[in-house]
Amino acid sequence: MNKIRYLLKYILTAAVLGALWQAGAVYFGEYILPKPLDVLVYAFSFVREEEFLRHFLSSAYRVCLGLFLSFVLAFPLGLYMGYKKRFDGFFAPFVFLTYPVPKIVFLPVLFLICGIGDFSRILLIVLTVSYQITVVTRASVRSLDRKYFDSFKSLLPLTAQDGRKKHFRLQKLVHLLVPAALPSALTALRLASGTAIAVLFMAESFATQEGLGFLIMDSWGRGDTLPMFTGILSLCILGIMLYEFCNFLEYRLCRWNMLQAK
Amino acid sequence: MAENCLVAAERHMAGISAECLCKRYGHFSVLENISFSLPPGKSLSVIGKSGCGKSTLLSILAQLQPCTGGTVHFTAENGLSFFDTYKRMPRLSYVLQEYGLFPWKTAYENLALPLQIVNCGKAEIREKITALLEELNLQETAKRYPCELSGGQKQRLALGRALISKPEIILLDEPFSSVDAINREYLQNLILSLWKKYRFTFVLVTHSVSEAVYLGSGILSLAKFAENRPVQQTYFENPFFAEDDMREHKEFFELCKTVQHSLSDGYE
Repeated sequence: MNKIRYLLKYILTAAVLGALWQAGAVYFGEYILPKPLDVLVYAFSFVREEEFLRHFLSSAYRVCLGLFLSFVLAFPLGLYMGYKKRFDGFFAPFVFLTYPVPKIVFLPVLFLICGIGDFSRILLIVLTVSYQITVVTRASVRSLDRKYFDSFKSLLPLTAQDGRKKHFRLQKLVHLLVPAALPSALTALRLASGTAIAVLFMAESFATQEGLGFLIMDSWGRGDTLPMFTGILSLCILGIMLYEFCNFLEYRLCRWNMLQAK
Repeated sequence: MAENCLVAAERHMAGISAECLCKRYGHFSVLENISFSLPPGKSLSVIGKSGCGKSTLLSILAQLQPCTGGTVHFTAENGLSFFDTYKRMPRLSYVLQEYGLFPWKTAYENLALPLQIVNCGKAEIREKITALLEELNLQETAKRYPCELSGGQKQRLALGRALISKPEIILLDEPFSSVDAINREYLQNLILSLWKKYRFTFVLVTHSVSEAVYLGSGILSLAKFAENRPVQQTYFENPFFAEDDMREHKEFFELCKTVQHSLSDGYE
């Protein structure tokens, strides 16, 4: 029942946005803004062509791999920074000094150093997105209530040399730190998916023949609005898919957090 | 893995002997010269107003934090050191003030954690938990998260998590402070019946005089009359501990009154 409601909300929002689009199309004329129905009809046949599929898949590949790598690198780093004060003291200044720097401006530099290819584009996504995940994960470990650390520590067996602390690092990671930090990290990932799409668009508008970003810029250059809007719509849908995937992960992995929020 | 499992070791009774425990944070003294000796299989209630260092005392006994002075020893039934007698430390469980349950684990997973940490087998864990859930009347909550449980259920779960590793010593930090009166009495009786069954040694920290007297074979009252004065400690023996219908005895009320008196101002 809830799922149907959720879907209905999506459809309703899409309908409202479509109506606004239609109004805009009438106002501006279809050389600037084509009518949504025309775009949909065009898109419906275009999406079945191999060319579109190539663009879509290469964009999806870049952004998914970028987000995956970001999470795999940034989440453990954030955990470690949040947990180990000494490492944090050394590493945090680097993170916070470079955090406000817009990584996207290094696009030309990356292309020069790492070559023009998917590697540079994915690296750019990783650079942009992993900061957000690291910072949020670090904060969530640091703000974790002391009582959970005490509670965990109290479950460890007593030893004669007070060796409680040393031996149970892995268990502490698995049972305490990871589950406690995961909800905020997934929220960060969800927000990051939007940023990643924006970076992807920038990175695909140069020096490539593949990707939705290229499709949009190329059609724009030719004044061909229908494929351009198909590209824009597809990027939106890609964004929604990623967002919903993060939701799904959160539902599967952090159900306790959602119950608690109710 | 069974040989690796500390829980498999036979249960012995353990006592605690604390000598001149002190805890200071800089110039600020939280505990001063607390001494007591708790014989194996008995219980001690620690009572006092907030801020007299009760919780600190427990966390030092649980070795969660070091003390700045004094010593804690665990003793065996023969009066010697527990470690020297059995070549291991006693199993000690600690029930934290606000349960200390992990919100990201279901009731079952919370109970399983102490056993997972010492590498018990899955089948063994399942068996133990099933029995314990039944004993604590929590069967239907196994798959629920702590946020879906009532206060009393959470408290029983926290108690269960402390019991699952067959502890020789249990430390309880104001276990019933956030439970309503009816549940409170039920839980007090539950602890007493569990004690009669397993004979673990326990230390209970509480605000309530009647609870301290009901659940302590010894009662340690810590009274702090002013910021700059040392904590006044008084020890009471409770000869009627764990007798049936103790709450209705005349002596119970008298002991309550004496303990209450020791906490009020002007008692020297």
